[in-house]
Amino acid sequence: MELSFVDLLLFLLVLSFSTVVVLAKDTLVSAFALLLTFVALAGIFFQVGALFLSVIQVMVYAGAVAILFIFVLMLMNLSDIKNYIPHYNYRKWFSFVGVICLGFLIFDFILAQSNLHQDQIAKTSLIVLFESLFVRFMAAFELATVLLLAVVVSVVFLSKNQENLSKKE
Amino acid sequence: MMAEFFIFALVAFSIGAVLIGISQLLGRKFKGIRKNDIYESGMDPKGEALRRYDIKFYLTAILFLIFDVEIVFLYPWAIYYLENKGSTFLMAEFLFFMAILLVAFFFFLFSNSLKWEE
Amino acid sequence: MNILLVLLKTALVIGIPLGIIPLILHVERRGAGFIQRRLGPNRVGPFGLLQPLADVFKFLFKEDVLPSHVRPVYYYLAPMISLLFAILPLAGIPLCGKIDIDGTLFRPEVFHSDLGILFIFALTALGPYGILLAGWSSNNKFTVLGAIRACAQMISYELAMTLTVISLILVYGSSDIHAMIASQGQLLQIPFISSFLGLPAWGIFLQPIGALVFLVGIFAESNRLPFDLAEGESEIVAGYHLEYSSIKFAIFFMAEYVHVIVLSALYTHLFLGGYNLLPGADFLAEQWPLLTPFFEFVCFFSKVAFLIWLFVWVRWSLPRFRYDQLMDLGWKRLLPLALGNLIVTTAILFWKHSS
Repeated sequence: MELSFVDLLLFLLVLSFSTVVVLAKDTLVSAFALLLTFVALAGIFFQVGALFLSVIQVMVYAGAVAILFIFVLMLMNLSDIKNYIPHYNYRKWFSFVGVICLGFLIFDFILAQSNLHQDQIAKTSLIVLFESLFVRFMAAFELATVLLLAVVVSVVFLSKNQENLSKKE
Repeated sequence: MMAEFFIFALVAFSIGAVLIGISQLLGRKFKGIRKNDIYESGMDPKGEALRRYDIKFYLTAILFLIFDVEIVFLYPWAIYYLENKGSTFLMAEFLFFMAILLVAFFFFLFSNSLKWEE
Repeated sequence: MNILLVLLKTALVIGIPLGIIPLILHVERRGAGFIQRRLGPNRVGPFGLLQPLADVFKFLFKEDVLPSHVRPVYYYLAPMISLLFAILPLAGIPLCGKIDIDGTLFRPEVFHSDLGILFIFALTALGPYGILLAGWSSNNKFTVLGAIRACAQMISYELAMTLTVISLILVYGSSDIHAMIASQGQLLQIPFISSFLGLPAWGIFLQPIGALVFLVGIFAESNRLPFDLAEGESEIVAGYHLEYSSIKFAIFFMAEYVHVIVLSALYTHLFLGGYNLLPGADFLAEQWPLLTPFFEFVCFFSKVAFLIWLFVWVRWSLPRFRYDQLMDLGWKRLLPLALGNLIVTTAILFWKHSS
């Protein structure tokens, strides 16, 4: 259970970027720091042996979710966050506690990695993971697809609603 | 392996930093009033920088997210299928998944919500 | 020893593409002149070959303007991040085949894992962020709009490309790049004609629709003409790099060329046989087996060079797309094609495997 230098570095990166996310005055700075948090988190996932999860983290979270956040913030011009959050002045204290908790969580996560050397975390664990996804939890997998269909339908209706509203104005 | 990647990323980042640093050292500095102004075809800028833009960008981002998640499900399916080639169960699962995906796709295709012209 | 090896690989993998960039610049300008029936730059050095060097010096010595309305830290950070995210996918792209020295295997790529191709695509998905940061930090209406449009364009075409890669994984039987290239080295087997033609089983022959979709996708991903709208001058007044001058502007263009090189290298590995030896070179490799990595690199590089010439050729031959035509092409034409390709490929493979 040795922590290498890379583990500690990733750990510090995640903590510092998430601190920036909470404490930044400009919301778009928070969004970009959130992106970097996702990328550093993917590094941690890779270090504990979750190969596929780290790839998915970069592709979906850092590649799609963060873009969504940034688009929304840019489109809605929510740069000045003070007007929208009621207890804005207490965020420094809450964020301090939150970052300490996050630090403990990630530290536990890294310490709990198995003893497998990097090269041995090979295809076999991937196949086991995929087998449980497609054979044991097949129902959940198909239901997730139905959930995505529901999201598409709702998003299309919301955007049409928005267009109708803005046409009436 | 991650350490190698870190070194790689560090070298890549420092190339840009070094170039900008060299330019700071070598380039001249002149004080000018109009040169540092915002560029709006020579006129004075009107309004703030971030206004409200079209909702179609938001729609594009959300649809990209949804189809990205679907692709995330397809990757392990492909890798798992290569281990059990010719398994009818896997094919049936794939066809069911694809059917729902195609329903979602054709729904948003024919809903005329991604009209970019006008 | 390990650190030295890592540094060597990093130096090669970063140094070779960055070193090719001045050459591409020159080829682009001379090629543009050739297509437009005029001479390109031919005064600085023999055949104008020192022109890119002169350009770099010009950019370095120019004044580094910091406009008063931009956000300083992010303004300087944006070109660096743009170049970083453009270079990152190079970590997974091998330059030549695996080298076998006394039994230990050296892989000519910086980052290797069993999900090789997925890592490259995940890192390519980070491409739009340099543009977004640049557009936002400039605090200018034009740049923000240009950045959002460029970003929307890039993410739309990523979908079709990623779907095509899934069909490729199914066809080649592995998600490791070396395995994919090895399976492209075999002869093409068409059911009725068999190996009559003697063609290798390249991706272009096995997945023609996928190759077409991916080709259009890499033009759109690198923001090159005909998908040039984010930086077209008459449309949106130079888009996201409007407020940038001198070396920062040059770094944005370096990032774009690195994108072109990375995507061309990826296309070569996936569809054009990667570093497999071309017909003349395998005869040479039999004579000198120790030089095989070098021959592989030369073959790979010549294919990438052909693709880069294709980029230049298309840029000066086709008019620019309108933005709605661009988005329609991405969502309404390429994505159904990629989905149909995947379904047909799966059906054919299933039929082949179950019989």
